[in-house]
Amino acid sequence: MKLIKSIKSHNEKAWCLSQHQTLPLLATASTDKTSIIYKLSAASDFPVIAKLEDSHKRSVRAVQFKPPLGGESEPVSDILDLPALACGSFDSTISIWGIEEPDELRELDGEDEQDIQKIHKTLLTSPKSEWSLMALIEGHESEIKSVAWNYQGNLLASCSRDKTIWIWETDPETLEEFDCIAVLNDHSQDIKHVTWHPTQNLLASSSYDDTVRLYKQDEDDDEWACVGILNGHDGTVWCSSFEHSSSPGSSEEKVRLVSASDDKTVRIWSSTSKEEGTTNSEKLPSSLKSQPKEMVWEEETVLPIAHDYPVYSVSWSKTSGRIASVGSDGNIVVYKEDGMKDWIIEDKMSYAHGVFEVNCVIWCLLEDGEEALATAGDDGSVNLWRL
Amino acid sequence: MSAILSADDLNDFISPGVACIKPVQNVSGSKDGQQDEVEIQIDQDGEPLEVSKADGEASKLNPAQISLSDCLACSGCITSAEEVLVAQHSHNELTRALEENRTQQTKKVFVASVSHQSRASLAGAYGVSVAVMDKLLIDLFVAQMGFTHVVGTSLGRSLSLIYEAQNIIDRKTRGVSGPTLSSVCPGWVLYAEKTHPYVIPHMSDVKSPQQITGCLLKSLVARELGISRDNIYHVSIMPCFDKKLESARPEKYDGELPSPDVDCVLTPKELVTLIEENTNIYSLIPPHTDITKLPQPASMSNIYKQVAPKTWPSIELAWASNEGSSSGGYAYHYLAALQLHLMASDPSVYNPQEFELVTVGGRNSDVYEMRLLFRKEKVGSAAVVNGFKNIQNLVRRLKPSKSTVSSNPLANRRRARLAKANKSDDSSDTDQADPSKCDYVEIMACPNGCINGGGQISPPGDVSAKEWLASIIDRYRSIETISLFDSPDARAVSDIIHWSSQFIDEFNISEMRLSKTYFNTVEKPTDQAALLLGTKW
Repeated sequence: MKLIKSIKSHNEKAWCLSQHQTLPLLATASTDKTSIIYKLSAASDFPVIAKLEDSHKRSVRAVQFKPPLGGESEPVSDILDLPALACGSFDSTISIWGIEEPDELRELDGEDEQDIQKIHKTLLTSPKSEWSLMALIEGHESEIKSVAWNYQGNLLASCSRDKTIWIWETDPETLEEFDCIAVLNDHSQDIKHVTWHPTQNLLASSSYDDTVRLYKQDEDDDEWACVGILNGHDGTVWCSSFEHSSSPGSSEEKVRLVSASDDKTVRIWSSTSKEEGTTNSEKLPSSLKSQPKEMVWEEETVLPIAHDYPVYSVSWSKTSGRIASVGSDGNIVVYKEDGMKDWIIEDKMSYAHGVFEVNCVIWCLLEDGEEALATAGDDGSVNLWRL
Repeated sequence: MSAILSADDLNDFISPGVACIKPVQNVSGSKDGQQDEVEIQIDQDGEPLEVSKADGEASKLNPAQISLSDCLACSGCITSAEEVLVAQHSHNELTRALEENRTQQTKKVFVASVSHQSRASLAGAYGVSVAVMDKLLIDLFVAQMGFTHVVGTSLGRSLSLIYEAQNIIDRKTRGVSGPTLSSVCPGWVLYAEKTHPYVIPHMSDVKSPQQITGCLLKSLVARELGISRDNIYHVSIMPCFDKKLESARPEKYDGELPSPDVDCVLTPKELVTLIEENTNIYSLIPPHTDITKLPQPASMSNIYKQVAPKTWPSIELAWASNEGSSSGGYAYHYLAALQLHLMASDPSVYNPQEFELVTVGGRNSDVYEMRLLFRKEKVGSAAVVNGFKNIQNLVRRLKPSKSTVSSNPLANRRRARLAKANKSDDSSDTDQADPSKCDYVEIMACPNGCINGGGQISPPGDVSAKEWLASIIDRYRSIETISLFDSPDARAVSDIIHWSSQFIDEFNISEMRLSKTYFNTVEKPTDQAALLLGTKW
C-alpha cells in the first residue's frame, strides 16, 4: 500500500468520507463544523471544490453524497443529475447541500453525446459551481452519528444518540421537502452508523448495544420494521457495509454484510433471502402471514484479526470485492476473499495517520478510474492510498 | 407515548431525555431558619445526617423527592416521572386506598369513570361483548370494591366535543391564522410544550373527557351525598399511561374547586394486573363461569342507571359513543358543527342537501383530511394525525420559516423543465391530505389513535397486532352512538349545553374551570454539565 496523497483538510478531527457514485468528488466531515469537497484528481493534485460552512453549531459527524437519479442501475437520461450532499451534525440537524445547474450546460445542444458527458463531468466537478444549503432537517433529539441515502436517493436515513433511526422521504430531483416516514427505536443504546444496501431498500444499523439490526418496509402497510438482528460482537458495533451485487465475490442467492466492532473483530454475515414458509403457508393461520418477514442471518466468518484496538470503519469494494478496515490502532487492513468463505489479509498499513486514530475508510475511484482507498483521521487529514 | 411508562414498547414513541436535571429543593428543618455551616455524614445505618459545625447537633436528612408536577414542569426527562407515577397512580395505590378505607373511620366515597376505548379493549381481551364487559366492570367496582358510582365518559366527551367545535368555529370566524390543534392527548401536549413551544398558540385549550367527567362526577356526587369533594376518590380507566400525567396537572382555577378531579388513572392493563394479583378478593369473571356462555344483558340502561349518580343528566350520556375516529371523533364533530353553524347563519342559502363530506387520504392511514363541501366548494376542513412521525411532519410544517435556506434552485429548474415539456406536474397535482392547511387537526400521539393506546391490552401471542387492533375497533364501533350536531335540530347539543350551564350556575363554578386547560412552555435545559450527566456514548 502506498500513500498517493495526504491532504491536511481540517485543523480538528476528520470523522467521515463519502465519494459521489459517478463523479470524482470526495466529501469530508469534521469537528471544525465544516465539510470540504475535493476533486479526486491526481492530475490536478486533488483541488478543493467547495467548503461547506456556517450551517452547523457543532461537529459535522457524517456525510454522504446522494446517488444519481434513478440509481446506478437505471440512471435517468433525460435530466442532468446534479450532485447533492447530506451532512449529519452533533447539533442534531442534517443539512442538505447542492449546486445549481451550471449556465454553460444550456449551450451544449448539438454536440456529440460522449463529448457532452465529458463536459458535464467537468462542469459538475468544477470549483465554479457554487454549493449552497438547500434544506436543514430537524427532528432528532441529540447528536446525529450517521446519515445514508438509499440507492434511489428518495430516502435518507439518519441515526442518533437518541437511540432512534429516522427515515426521511424526499423528491430525489428537487430535494424540496423531507417528510419523516419512520422512526425506528429498536436499539437500546446510541446508534453509531446506518447504511443502505446498494441495490435494494434494506437498511442496516450498528449500535453501542453490540448489535447490528436490519430493517425493511412491510409490503402490506408500508411500515418500516426490524427484520433481523446480528448478535455476535462483544462490543459496540461501529460500522457496517453491504456487499454490492456486482462485486466479484457476490452471489445472487445471498446478501452479505461486513461489520466492525470495538471487540477488534471484523465479521461477515449472510442471509439467503429465500422466502420463509412458502411450502406450508396454507397450514398457517392467516394472522401469521401478515407478520413482517423476518430475515434469517448467520455469521459467515470472522476476518483474520489484524487490529489491536477497536475497529471503527469498514468498507466493501464494489469494484474488487475486497474489504478494508481501519481503527483506533491506526492500522489500515485490506482483506480479500480467497476461495469460498476463506479470507486472507492482502495488505496492511500501520500508523496510517501517524499516532492518530483512523475514523473512516472508503473505497473510491479516482478521476482516471483507478481504485484507491481514502482514510480520515483524528489528525484532520484525508489520506489516499494506492494498492 | 411515554412508552417508557409501560412494560411493553410501542413501536412509535417519543423517547425521553436521559437525565433528571431538576434541581431538588428541600425545605431545611432548621429551627430558627438560621443557616449554620453543616457537614453531611452517613450514620451506621447508612442514613444521611446533617451535622451542624457550630453546635455539633445532628439531624436526619429527608430524602429528596420529586413530585409529578415537578416532572411536568421540567424538560429533562420523563423517566423520573415513571417512579412518581407508579407511586401516585398505580393499581397498588388503588388497593391501598380501598384497604385504608375499610380500616379508617372517615370513609371515602369511591367513584369510577370508564373510557370507551378501555371498555372495548377489556371486552376484546376476555372475548365478550362490550355490554357484557360493562356489566362485569360494574360488578367488580360496585359489588366487589364497594364503589358508589360508575359512569362512562360520554357526558364529558360530549361536552368536550361541543366546546371544541365551538372554539374552532370561533377562531375561524375571528380569522385566527393557521390550524387549531387539539389538546386532548396529553402525550402530544407534553411533547409540544417541551420541544415545539411555537405550536402552543395553535392549541385549543378545551379540556379532555377525562377531566370534564371528573369535575362533573365529583361535584354531583358531593352534592347528592352531602359530603366534601375531598372525600371522594375518583378512579378513571383510560387507554393510555399519559392520562396519568394529565390528571396530575394542577388546575389553573384551583381556588374554585380544590382537590383533583381525578385521583387515580388506571389502564386496562393495570386493571387486569390488579385483579390477577388479588384473585382472593376480586374477580372480573365470576368464578366457575364459562365466559362464552355469559348471557347478553337484556337491558343495560337499567344497570347503567342504577350505578350512575341520580342527577346524572341522561343515561345515554353516560356510556354511549360518538361518530368519527376511535379517538373520540373530534375532527368529524367540528365539521358537523360547522355545517350546523352555517345552516343556522343563513338558512335560505345553506341547504343541508347541498353539503358533502369527503375524506382525502394522506401518505399513510394515520394521516387524513376531511373536507366539508357546500355546492362542491370547500367550506371547512379537519385532519386526523396519529403517531409520532406524522406529528413530526406537521410540527415542522408549522414552524416559522427559517431564513438560512435560500430558495431551492432545483425546484425552480424542475418547474421550468416541466413547463417546457408542457406536461402537468403529476406529483404536486395529486390531492393529498395536508393537515397544516386545515382549520383543525385532531392529534393523538399513538399510532391509530386512542384505541391503540399504550395502556390497552396487548394481543395474545398467536394473534397479529393488526388483527387484534381491528377486533378492538370492531368492539368500539359496536357501542351505541349518540348523534350530537347531526341529530335533528341538534337537540342533543342544546340539551347538553342547557344542562351544563345549569350545572355551572348551581355549583357556582366557572365555565373556565369546567372546560379549559392551559399550557406551559418548558425551557430547554442549558446547563451542559447536567445534560452530560445523562450522556451515554
